[in-house]
Amino acid sequence: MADHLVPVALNTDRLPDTPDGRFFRGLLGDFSQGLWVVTPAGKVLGFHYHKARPGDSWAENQKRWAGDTVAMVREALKAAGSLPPRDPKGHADPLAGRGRGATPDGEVRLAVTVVELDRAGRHQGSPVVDSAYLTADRWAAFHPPAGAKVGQTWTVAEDAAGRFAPALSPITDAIFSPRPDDVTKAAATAKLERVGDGYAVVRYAGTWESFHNRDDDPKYPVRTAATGEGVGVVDTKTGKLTAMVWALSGTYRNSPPAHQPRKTAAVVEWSEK
Amino acid sequence: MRRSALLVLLALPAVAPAAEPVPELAALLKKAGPIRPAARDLAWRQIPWDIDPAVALKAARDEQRPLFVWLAGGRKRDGSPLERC
Repeated sequence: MADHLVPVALNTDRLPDTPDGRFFRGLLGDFSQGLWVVTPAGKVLGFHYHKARPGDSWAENQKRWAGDTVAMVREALKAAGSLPPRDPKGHADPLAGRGRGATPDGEVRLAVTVVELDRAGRHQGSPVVDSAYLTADRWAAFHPPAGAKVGQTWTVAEDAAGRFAPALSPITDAIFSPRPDDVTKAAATAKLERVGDGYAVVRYAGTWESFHNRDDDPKYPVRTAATGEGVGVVDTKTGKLTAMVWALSGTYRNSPPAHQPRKTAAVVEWSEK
Repeated sequence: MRRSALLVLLALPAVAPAAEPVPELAALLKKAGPIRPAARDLAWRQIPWDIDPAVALKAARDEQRPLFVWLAGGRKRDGSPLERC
């Protein structure tokens, strides 16, 4: 597929009101989302919208979804006729900054992975792939204060810790996931644990809770809670973090009738390079 | 869940951040290992996605080839379908 088509992933809420944005909006019709193969002139060669079949298991639905998508793309490629392979050299990865580096203004994008676990600790479904964004000010809250000595502790600003909201929900659909404003508790502490050869180690601990109503409807409350531990590595020359990793475990409670607590686990990670 | 349908289109090695040689960090990464994404969980990242409608349309017109379009959202959220949006 990537060899012959131009792949584009777009958020329907962020399509610009331009001719290009309207080109893609026009594909939607009565659908809120989906997959299309379309020529640049607007001729639709293929379309697939997955609808879960009642009674099918999650795995059965996934299998059917994948099979139907591949079949749609194959048919569309046939309809497109002969296409020379693409050369994607020089293509910029839109997720290049996820979990790595910082923007010129000092914002970092922590890589977030969340899974739901069954009682035996097995993954339930695909992991959620997301990011937590920290402005330079919020990122600074995870750093030791200037002149900090081994054993010194500090509190990570609640506003900064609350940006971990994406790590609280194991559901890929955004309406089931809290935003930072939905976080009702974000208590994180840090301790400068030891100094090594050119680096210092920071230990973190945190507790989070969130509450929001799905689709802003009070009939559908969503609650999460999690605790986490983290480790940061600081370059003693610059005083800057070079790596930070957190492991969280918690619970996710959807609205009734699916309101029984579901076990979650998350990893939040970032490295300088 | 949406992403799973795309996984079968490509299967390439994982891209995992390198661990720093600091024991505490290595230990936490090991503990978090079962939660961190496996290669197949991130295979879709190997697809050369565009996330700008103008850039994608220009490429399709210049190269005279169709687009593979993934539209998602409707939740008044930021981001792209490459992550939760």
